[in-house]
Amino acid sequence: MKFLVADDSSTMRRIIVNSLNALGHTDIVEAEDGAEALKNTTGVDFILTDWNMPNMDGLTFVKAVREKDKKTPIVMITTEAAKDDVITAIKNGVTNYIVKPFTMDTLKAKLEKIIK
Amino acid sequence: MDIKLINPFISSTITVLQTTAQLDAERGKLFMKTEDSHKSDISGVIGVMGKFVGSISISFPKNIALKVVSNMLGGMEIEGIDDSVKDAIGEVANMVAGAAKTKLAGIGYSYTLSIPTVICGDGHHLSFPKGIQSIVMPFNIKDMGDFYLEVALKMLKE
Ligand SMILES: [Mg+2]
Repeated sequence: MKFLVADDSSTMRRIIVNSLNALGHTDIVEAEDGAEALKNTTGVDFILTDWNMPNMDGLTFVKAVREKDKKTPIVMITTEAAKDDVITAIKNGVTNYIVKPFTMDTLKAKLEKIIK
Repeated sequence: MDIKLINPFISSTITVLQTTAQLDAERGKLFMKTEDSHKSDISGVIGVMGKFVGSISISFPKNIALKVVSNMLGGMEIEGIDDSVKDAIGEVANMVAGAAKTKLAGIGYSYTLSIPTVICGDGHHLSFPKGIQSIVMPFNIKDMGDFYLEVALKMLKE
């Protein structure tokens, strides 16, 4: 299974990639913002994206993906957890939501559940 | 600035450090910032914009910053303030401002966040535009020292 991880923080990407590795997933492409992520969606089975990113934010990225692809699961990993934000994200095609901050163990457990 | 706007940032700071870096931060006493009130080695700054405008900063001495980042990355050894440390401190500021956003939205103060800016320099001091009073909350981490949360917000006229 191929993963795309989009987050402007290299630390956060490292934490997410480490969690995926721990779950046995090693086919991962990384992107620093929505624009770079959008160029790297080919062949991806699972998308994990931040919301607050420069150039193109996560929500804009999700909308762009959903114009052509209704199926690929998209997990939003973000600090933006106000009710309206979550509703907006889900309306626009986000399939799961993980709120920062988290411990590595929580992240792993949540990802494991979602990926199944 | 209404003091109830500050509490969500204080509690979010404690939560973010505890959750991501397993560090217990004990809050001290709020004070008004002055030119020489405190200094730090690395700061993460997030601009906010909504019913109010301003910024949220979290400023660390080097030893605490390195410990935060090392713990965030699962105990990785970190020698000095490099790009990965700058990135991580920016993300800490982002998480603090983001977690507080959720709480403040619940009481009618929605805002949007900027991308984090990180400022480094041994013993630096952050300056803000005139007309925005900055309120500082010091925190202590046992055996490590103090770090600071600065909330500098100005209500916009309706
Ligand atoms: Mg981000």
